[in-house]
Amino acid sequence: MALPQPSRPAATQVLSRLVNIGIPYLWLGLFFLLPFVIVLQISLAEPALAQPPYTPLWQWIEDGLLQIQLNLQNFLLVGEDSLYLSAFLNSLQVALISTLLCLLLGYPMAYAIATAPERLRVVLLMLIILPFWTSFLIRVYAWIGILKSNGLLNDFLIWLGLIDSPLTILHTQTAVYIGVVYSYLPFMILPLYANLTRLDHGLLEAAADLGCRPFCGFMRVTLPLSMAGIVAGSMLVFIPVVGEFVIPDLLGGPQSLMVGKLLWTEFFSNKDWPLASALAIVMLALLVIPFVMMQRWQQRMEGGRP
Amino acid sequence: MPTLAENQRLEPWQDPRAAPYLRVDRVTKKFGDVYAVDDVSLDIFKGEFFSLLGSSGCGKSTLLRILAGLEYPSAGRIYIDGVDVTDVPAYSRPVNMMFQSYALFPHMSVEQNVEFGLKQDRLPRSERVERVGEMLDLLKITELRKRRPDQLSGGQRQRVALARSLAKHPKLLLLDEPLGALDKRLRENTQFELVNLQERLGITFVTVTHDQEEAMTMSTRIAVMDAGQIMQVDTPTAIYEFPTCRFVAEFIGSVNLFEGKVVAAEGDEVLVETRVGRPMRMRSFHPLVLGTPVTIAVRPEKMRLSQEDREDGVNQLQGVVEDIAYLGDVSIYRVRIGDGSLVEMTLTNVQPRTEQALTWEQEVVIEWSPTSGVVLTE
Repeated sequence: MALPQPSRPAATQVLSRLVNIGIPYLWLGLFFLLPFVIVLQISLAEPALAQPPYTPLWQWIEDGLLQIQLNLQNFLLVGEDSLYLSAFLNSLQVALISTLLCLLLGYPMAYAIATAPERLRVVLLMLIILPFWTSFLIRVYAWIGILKSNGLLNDFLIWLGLIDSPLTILHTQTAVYIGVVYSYLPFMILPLYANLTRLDHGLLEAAADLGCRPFCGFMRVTLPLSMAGIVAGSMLVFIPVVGEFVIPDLLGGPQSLMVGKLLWTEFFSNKDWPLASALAIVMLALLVIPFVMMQRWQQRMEGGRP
Repeated sequence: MPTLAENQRLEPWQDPRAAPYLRVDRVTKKFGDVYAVDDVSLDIFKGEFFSLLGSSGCGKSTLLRILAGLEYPSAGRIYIDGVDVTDVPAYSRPVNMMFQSYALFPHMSVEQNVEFGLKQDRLPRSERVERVGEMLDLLKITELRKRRPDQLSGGQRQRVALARSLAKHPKLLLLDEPLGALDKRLRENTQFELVNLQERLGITFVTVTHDQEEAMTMSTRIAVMDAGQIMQVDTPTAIYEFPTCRFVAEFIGSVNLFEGKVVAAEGDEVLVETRVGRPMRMRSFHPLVLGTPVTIAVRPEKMRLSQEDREDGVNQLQGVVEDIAYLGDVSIYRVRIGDGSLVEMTLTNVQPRTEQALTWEQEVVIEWSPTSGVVLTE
């Protein structure tokens, strides 16, 4: 019996394959690589009173002589000035602790939603997504109203008689954590929920049948199987929080200096685009490291497969 | 001939002194207003291969889950080896289950899956390794030990699931549709393997199945269930040959049913006047009062062709061949009889098909003997 001939000529097939692979690469090139190169280029320039406010990287000086000037001063400054270092460390610390807090709060919530009856599940999910319908900025402003010394929280606590004088929460690191955890919790819950709904309840029954109490079943079956959701949720929280600017700016105090806020200041107040760009590049490099590590880990987890 | 003692060892349910190993005592399970299991009592003996047979939704799986401790009965008690385990949760019952979907842990290798329950028992490592090796060996899956469930075929997964549920040496192994997910060929081979395994280990098996052939091949006894109730509990032979109610007669295999009422009784035989017009004489295991409405059940293969149409016409039916289904070894004939109903008859194809006597539209007389059917009273 003759095999059916491929219906399309090879050339068209190759073309369609190129288009299929090409589009995402084109997208990445245009909207990720190109901006990155531009930022990298700015970071190697010097600030100048001009439009745009930095010196060009290369210049034609008479008779076809090309002069390229790479300024590494910005990177050196970022490395030397303890201000930047402490901002980076502070950002990482805030991101790490908030990710952990989001995980501790978000996991039980995602689990409860995933195991709730079908109808209630839709309502609960809605409640998680609902805050997104209001502007992020307005929601952070609302926290000022809640946390300030004559705000809702303090009034309520005084009314309860738990405290005599208002607590100072606003413009402290605590306020930053409250704001960050509140804002990013849905990003932890949603991937975890998506993961946990796929969990086969039969596996927990099998664990129980083999002698596992409910908690042990959770530790040996549910938790390891939801690891992908934990990783996804943690990345979705950790990465943007490192660069977070609005929340520390509005809720934080002088001690809560984060890279995002520093970047903003350098960019808009000091008009030092090259330094701001250098900061952005260093931040990206710092974020790529944990991301690659995570990917390695995931590959190892799936390593048993052919 | 086996002696009486041997018989009682092989068929402990015949021995009035034998203590049941698993005792289900008037168990009821309600989901809302629905009775999934309705006042079921069962005695299952040590070393039995017991099957719960019924169509989907008859409550057989719920009953199995109650035995596993995954559901708690609304009423009634469960005893295993004389101990009341009704309120014992699944994780402390000396019972293991092989799930219909196998429920293998996808993040663990074959080895780790089998070891799971042993770790729970806090057995020392050396003993665990030994036991896992034993189980993998028993089910001939040693070379798969490092694989993950998604790298296994359906048949291999079934073996891993079986190994995992046997690893803890349970007093009772529950199997939910153990062969349900396998293709026909594999199923037939596995049936015999499962029986051999059970006989070798001496563990009491309780399985749930909707496949009557599977139940007939493997079981020491079968409980036929319908609507949460047990219709009959007996050996495969007895279930087939001597059903005690219409449901069981119709559920297992094919059967011809004739309704009528008792007009004469003589020794262990009764004469029944039927709606099809002909009187029938059948053996009855219970004495029946005259006038009792009864149903006579005769299996198609117990029917045979008659050379003469006797005058009294007892146990004889006259009709016309309407359908013939040729199955190779046997042929099924559907014969339209006097009152317009169809009677099914199976004949072995002793001669090649082309030389067969029976053909469509042919007038035939069918008959059967008084001992080749049963009289049902309900």
